Amino acid sequence: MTLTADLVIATAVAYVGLLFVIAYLGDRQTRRGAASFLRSPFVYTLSISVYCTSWTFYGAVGTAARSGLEFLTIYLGPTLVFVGWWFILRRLVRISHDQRITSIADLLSSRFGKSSRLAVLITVLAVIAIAPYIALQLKAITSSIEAIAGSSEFGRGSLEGWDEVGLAFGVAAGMALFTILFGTRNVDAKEQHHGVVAAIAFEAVIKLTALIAVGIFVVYIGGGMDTIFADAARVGIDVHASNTFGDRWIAMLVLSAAAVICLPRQFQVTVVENSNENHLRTASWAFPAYMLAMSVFTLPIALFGLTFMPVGSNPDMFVLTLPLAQGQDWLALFAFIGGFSSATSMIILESIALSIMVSNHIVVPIMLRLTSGDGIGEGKGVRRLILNARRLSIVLILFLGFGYFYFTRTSDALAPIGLISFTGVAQFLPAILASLFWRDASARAAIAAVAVGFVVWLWSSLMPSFASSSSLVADVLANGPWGIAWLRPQALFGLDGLDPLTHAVFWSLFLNATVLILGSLASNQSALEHVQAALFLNVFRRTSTDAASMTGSATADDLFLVARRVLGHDRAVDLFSEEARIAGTPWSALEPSPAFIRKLERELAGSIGAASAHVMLSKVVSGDSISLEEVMQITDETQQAIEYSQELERTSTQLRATAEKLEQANRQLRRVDLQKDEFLSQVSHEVRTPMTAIRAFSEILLDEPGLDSTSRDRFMTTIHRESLRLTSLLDEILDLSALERGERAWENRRLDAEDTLDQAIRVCDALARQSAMTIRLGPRAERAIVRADPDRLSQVLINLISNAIKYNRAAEPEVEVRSRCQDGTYIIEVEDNGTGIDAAERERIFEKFYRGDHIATAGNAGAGLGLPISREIVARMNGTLELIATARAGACFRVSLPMAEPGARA
Amino acid sequence: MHRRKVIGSALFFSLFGMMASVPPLIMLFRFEGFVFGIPAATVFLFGLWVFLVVGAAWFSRALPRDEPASGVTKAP
Amino acid sequence: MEARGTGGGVLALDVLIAEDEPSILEALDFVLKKAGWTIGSVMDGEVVVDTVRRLRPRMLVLDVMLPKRSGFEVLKQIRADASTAKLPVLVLTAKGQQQDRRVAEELGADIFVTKPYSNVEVVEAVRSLLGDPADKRAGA
Repeated sequence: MTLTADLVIATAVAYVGLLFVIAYLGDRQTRRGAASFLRSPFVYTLSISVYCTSWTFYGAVGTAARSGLEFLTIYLGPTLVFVGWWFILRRLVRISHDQRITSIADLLSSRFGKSSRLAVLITVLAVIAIAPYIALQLKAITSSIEAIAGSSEFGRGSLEGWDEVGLAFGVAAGMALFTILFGTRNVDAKEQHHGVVAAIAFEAVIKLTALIAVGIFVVYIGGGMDTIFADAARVGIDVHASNTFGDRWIAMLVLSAAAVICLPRQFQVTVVENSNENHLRTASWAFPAYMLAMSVFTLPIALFGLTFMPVGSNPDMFVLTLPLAQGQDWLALFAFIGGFSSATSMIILESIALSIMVSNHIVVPIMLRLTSGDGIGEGKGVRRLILNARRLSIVLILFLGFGYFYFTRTSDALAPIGLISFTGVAQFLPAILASLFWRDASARAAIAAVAVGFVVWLWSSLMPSFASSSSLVADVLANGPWGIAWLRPQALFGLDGLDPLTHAVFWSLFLNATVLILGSLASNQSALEHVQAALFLNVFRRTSTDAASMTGSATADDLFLVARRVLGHDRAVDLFSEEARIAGTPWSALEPSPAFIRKLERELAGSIGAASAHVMLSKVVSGDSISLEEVMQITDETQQAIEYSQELERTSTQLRATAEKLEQANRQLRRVDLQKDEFLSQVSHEVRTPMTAIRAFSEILLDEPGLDSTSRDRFMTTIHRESLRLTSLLDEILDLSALERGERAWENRRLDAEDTLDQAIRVCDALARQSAMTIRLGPRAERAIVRADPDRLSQVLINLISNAIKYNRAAEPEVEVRSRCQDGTYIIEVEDNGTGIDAAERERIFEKFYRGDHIATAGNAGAGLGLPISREIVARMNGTLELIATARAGACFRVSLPMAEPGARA
Repeated sequence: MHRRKVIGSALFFSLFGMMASVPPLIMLFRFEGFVFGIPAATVFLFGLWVFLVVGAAWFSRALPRDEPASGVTKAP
Repeated sequence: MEARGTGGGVLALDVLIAEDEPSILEALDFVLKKAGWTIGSVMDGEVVVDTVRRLRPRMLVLDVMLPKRSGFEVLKQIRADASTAKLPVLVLTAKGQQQDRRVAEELGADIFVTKPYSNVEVVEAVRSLLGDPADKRAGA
């Protein structure tokens, strides 16, 4: 068989077709739920081995040939990261599950307060940093095809007339097409691609098998490992790596460890595509083992190639050219497929991962902003938008890779290109570590740190790679920009003599970390950052009880803000107070544990529905492109409307009630005020009347010295009488007001009320005789023990009887007084045979200063306070005074007093 | 073994791997000798690597399993 | 209750006093007579208007607090009747409040006197309404 370019290309296309079928079947099986093997820890491990690209497949041998053991650092770094999976990767996976992280940009943005600026920055930098890496794959594929095509005279076939660049462009275009077909058939919210993962796992097996096959073949024809080393040593190759373990060794170890975390595709397969945290357990040893297997034959292949291949052959292509040189075309084809596998899996996954970042963090937000929400409401539109954004991103990414390839095509080694990308993505590492372990890292510091690191990377790592194609770059490299020597890209600040890679890694990461730390110490976090930082840091904290560190200030503020808007102030305060009580911390130091957030979500769900609550909280708590302010706005708009209307309703009801009460109180007040006015006016009138008489007569007496003595005596008697009237009036007013205030100037004591009644009748008898009327005694109780004051009771009875005498204008006036005991009540009735009192006046006669119109103004009439005073006195004896209706025309007043000895009738 | 001790051991193991992979520890194996015809440094590095893999395999079983209550397994 | 005319038979009455307090009435009667006017008096509100129509006094001294019909009602009636509308009225009140004064003025009282008053004050008020009686009656 003769390998031709046509055959190789046909094989490659067929191989890609096979991958496509595998991906398709994988997706279908997953949809059926029957693809449990696709979610096995070994498939997961194999998919992680996308780390081993064509750089590994071809370039590791090249590195081994050029720098000996140095190639191992690229695998030792990731090995250490996976061995220490418990401390970093497990956190990343758990956080990403909890927060539904879709990419590394998403992760950092989420941790740093959902900073969309950070997400955009990370995305842009990732796309730029990955370009050399893509170029590396294009170069590897192109070189491998060229290697095969160049090996036979009619090898070029239909490639006749295609140069390296054209071939690379063709490969890039083909890869873009395949990736679009693979990765953008549908959009999954979790950004998991089971079909693609299945294909990647398949490719992992192919590339490992191919490399091991070549390795075994080489060891076989080389006569065993020891012979190969011995032969190499004999031709003068340093097999002992004497100068290997220097600064470059450390720099590469750090870079590779960083890369396995920070590379977008590694984050994609390790974290995002992870379906079970325990898969990481297996991968922790299985992935290092895979890399170990990939590397076992690297050194023998390199040394054998260096020993036996013609001088000047490209060591990067030894894997391919050694079998070719031995006439093993099938093995060579298999090796080609292995290398092709490494390249395609890397390109496919890297493009997918990057396109997710580009579409999620750049395109979609912009589109959403441009369309301001309308027209994309239905899912289909959004889906199409996202898919198109991703397709465009894939094309862009591959085009960038091709562009880089085009400008740097003259440098031939693969590994340095890859290391440029590694240095680029390593700039994310400080921020990632800070997000996992340092609560106080702030978004502004992270943005500045990544930007600074990236600028240094651009200057000292990416730009120098263009030196071979640009004389300007070469000049800057040699002399610095505008001759500023300390800005020379590979000798920044005069740091000369370092390996360029170490130089770039040191300065970029050192400045990056310094800016991050100092910036964080100097700036403040937003409330949302606080919350997110706590969530990231406490991702494994189950309950608040095993919360070890409760430092930091009020991280729950944001949640409280949200809760208060939805639940209302009181309920929110209750919730948070309770949580603080359980956590045993002051409220201000409360950290929202996942359990508490779930509880909060349930509470919110009760108010605004589960979906909204979840959206809201996951927006506040986890990562997404929506800002806290927007969430607040959403809540405000919906919830406040509800709340407002409820509040309004409640308030208006309350207001009505209050207004009514107020109105009532006001009316009462007005009435009381009127009564007071009325009372004062009455008092004034009652006082002025005798005063008028007194003044008038005393003036007469003063002005008329010649007054006859009869008149004089008469006037003086009037003055005297009126002054007495005035005195008794004032006494009555004071008495009444005291009684009305509830005062009782006497002590109620047991007495026989009959005795008091007899006494009162005796007093009034004289008055009655004066008026030529009789007091008739009706039936009487014999003995009635009540609790009262004898003088006051007597006052009441005298008032009643004398009123009955004074205002009685009957022809034969008479008053009947009777008493009885009835049901524990002692009753006295005073009835006259006068004209009686109109029904309309029945109550009014007890009002102050009221004098019925029918009552003659006899001159000696009281001020109209007698009855009100009597009523108050009886009330202070726990009795009643009332005017009752009787069969007869006259008025009948009844005094009822509770008896102290109810049974005492005798 | 006690949970915290296992985690502590895992941390030490990872740190040890790190220390063993970088200077100055790695300098110990920079002598020009052969083990079964293979340079000592190479044997050491691959030996370290194997050791790390085996250790990681052991720790992957020993480290506590505490799945989150809500279940980390994602629905397909 | 009869209105009592003093100062002789058919002679027109100078002043009719409507006042329910006997002692005040007596004092007013004494002072005004002494000043030279003929005096009549009533003691409740119901009869005031009738008495005014019948006796046609030259003026009326009217207490506000009258039994059965208040002085204000009486005043309103007097002003409403064309035959008595021009009758000068002096209102007496014991309440002495601003409101009473205003009501009285609105109802057309000519003079408003608050109790307790000085006798001179009342005499001067009556004189300002009726002119000086002294010359006319001096010899009678």
